Amino acid sequence: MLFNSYIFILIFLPLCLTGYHFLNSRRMYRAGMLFLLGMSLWFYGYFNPWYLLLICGSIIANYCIYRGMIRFNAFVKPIFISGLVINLGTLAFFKYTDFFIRNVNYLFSTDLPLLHILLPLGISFFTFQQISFLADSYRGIKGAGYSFLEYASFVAFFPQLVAGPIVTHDILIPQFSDEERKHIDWELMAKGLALFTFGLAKKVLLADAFGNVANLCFSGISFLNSPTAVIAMLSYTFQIYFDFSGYSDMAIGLGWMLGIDLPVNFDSPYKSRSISEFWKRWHITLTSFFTKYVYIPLGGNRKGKTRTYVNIFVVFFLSGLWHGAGWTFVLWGILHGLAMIIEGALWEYLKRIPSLIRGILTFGFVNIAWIFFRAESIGDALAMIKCILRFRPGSIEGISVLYSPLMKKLGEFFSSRFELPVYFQTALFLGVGFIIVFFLPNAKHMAQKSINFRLSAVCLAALLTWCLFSFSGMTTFLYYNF
Amino acid sequence: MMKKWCIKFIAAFLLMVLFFGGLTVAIDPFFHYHKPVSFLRYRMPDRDERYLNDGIVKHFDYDSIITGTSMTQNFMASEFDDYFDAHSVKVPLSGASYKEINDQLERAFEAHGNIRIVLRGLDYGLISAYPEEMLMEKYPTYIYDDSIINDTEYVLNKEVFTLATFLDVIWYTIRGGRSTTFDEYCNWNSLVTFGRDATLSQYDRKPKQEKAAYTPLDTRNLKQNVTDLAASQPDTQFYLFFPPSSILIFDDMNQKGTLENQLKWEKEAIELMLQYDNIHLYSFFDEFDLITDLDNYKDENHYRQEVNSYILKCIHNGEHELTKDNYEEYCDKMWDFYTAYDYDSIFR
Repeated sequence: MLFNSYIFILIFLPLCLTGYHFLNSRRMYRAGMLFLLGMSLWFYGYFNPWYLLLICGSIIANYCIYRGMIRFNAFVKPIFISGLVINLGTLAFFKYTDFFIRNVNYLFSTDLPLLHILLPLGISFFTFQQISFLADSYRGIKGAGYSFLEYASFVAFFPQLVAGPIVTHDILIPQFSDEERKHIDWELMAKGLALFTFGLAKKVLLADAFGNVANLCFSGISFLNSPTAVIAMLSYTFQIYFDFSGYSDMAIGLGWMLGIDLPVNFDSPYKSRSISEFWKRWHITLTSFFTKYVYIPLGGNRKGKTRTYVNIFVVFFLSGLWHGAGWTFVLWGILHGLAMIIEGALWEYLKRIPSLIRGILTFGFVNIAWIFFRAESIGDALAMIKCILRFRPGSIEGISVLYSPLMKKLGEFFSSRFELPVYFQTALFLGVGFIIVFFLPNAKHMAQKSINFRLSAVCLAALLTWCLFSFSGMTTFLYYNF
Repeated sequence: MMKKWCIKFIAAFLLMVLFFGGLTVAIDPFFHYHKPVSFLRYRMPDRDERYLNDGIVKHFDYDSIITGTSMTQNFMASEFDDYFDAHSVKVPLSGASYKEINDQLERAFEAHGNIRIVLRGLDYGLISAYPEEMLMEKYPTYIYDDSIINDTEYVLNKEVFTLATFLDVIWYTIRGGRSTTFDEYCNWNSLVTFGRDATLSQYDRKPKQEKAAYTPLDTRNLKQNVTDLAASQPDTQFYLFFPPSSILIFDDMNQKGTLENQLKWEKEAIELMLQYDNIHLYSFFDEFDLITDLDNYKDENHYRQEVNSYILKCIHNGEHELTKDNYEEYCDKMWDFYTAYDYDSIFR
């Protein structure tokens, strides 16, 4: 299921909140947890019942490995290794098989057919989540023994199941057993409703709009001129931020509605004044994961400068690969890795640059790196960058932020009434994007503050209604002559 | 205190959803649930053709249907009604394949029944098209199907609400608009420029290619998307015609080397269609003065509204009808004229 769907907002969420809080109000805590687990599985299996088989299998297998490590202490290392292999192997199978085949075909000029294996939703997330759990158990860093219900509820917890934040067991499971959290905290509920609404608005009203521009431009790079290439690049930069952070906001908001605190994942990342700061503000839980489970085990920064740089490189290489099964993703990761290394090496000099300038440079670098992340191929990415650097002016009239009949109508109305150029819509959206990412506090902060304003309940309800009504639109049917 | 906030939030949300959604259900701009509401005026823009047509065929009062692609959009339903003593609706689908038009007709028969006459244009070049072909990948199927669950896409849809429910009905009625008639619906006759210059400027002459080898006509498109329906509705009269595109489409086929195949396929198609008693077939391609006069067109395909009227008159008078007795003579005339025509003269 998706958060931005009619069934989630109108049926799933009301049912889930009502059932969970009702059972808890009757002190039927175990029933409440079972209910939550059941709802989470319904959420996940809604699209494809086979996925349900996969996640149940994954949960059961990992829990058995966990118990195995406890029970057969003498064999704890081989059991742990096999757990790693099973998890990573499953992930590799679903996510990287075609990537592997494509590379084999390229290297050996073979023509092996691609398998087109459907990627189960969230597999990257719940795989990493469970690996972290096994690693902690292996190292003895775990709380008291978790029951199967607790473990399953933790992995399947629907707010964070599909796209994070990556929550570790030590953060989530204790909250499930905390009885204080079982009583409805109405202030937390209000904040949750507000945050969820903000996140949904970011995704549905902003990210999807920027996405229309980005999709159009990235699939027709040869038609771009310098201004449109810049607009394309900025559009994607905004799209991915509003989409991903919007989703995390919704996850945290949903957690609050259920009395659970999920970790923050984004903290106004485009305000960063350096790359290392960027990674403390962007996808924070992933940075934490890689730091704790890859960087530090490799030695972190305790084995000399060169080894530190190598460790950083490995982390970002793997991060790129985790983000997607393609060389564009790996290259994106490598770019960030190299930037981190160079920044770290030259920090004594770099830190003297005025912070605002550093901020602009950081934003610029992040934008360029996103081009590789988004482009269909490395060649496409380079073509777009060349286009931007050419500095050849051109018209941006072809770009329309939203290709829907409503936006067209609004655009026509305003531009004829107020004599605005046709592309003012694009400029408006980009302007709004800039203001939000550079000047506004993050959504979590805004949610907490907003509920204290008069009429905030009605206004936020109106925003939620507007978002709900945006789940569906009208298609423009292009008129052909024959 | 915050409990009140939450209750206000949820209540406000539910009220707004019910209000705006309820308005769309009650007014029903796409006639998904019922006929137009009598005291409201409905503007039916051609932009919404594929949203409106389904509701029209399911809920309006009519006994005949006028349909086809953009080449049927300029028919005047009132003219048709006079000629045939009928009460018709016009439901064209711009750029559509035979399948899309046929699917719409099937939905009409299923929901409405008792359809006396179907007037349908069969675009000439699509005779041999792939039977499953559709113009677009995505359609508002929530309109076409019977499921009420996916109606949330109709009722809780801000574009439907603002453009259709509000602007095209509520605001339109307030401003004193008149409901669109089936003479006006999708009619573009007054919006374009006709004439030889306009037509030629739209035409992109392809380089000359080798003549394509002959293959027999793949009749699936005709069978599945034209004749099967006629066979299943023996009480309905199907008036089918080839919209008279200009000489330029023959030039195009001549350049691409497909002209002879097309003429042969046309003959095979005619033979197939004439097997059915309730199919009455018409073609105007043998009216060479009309076809070769580019002043009648705005581009290689689309002709003036006068031609639509002429088509109705001929059908009413029984002129230009292809029958088992005369179709071979017609095909011979077609062959002789179009294979020998001096296409270069068009451009001089």
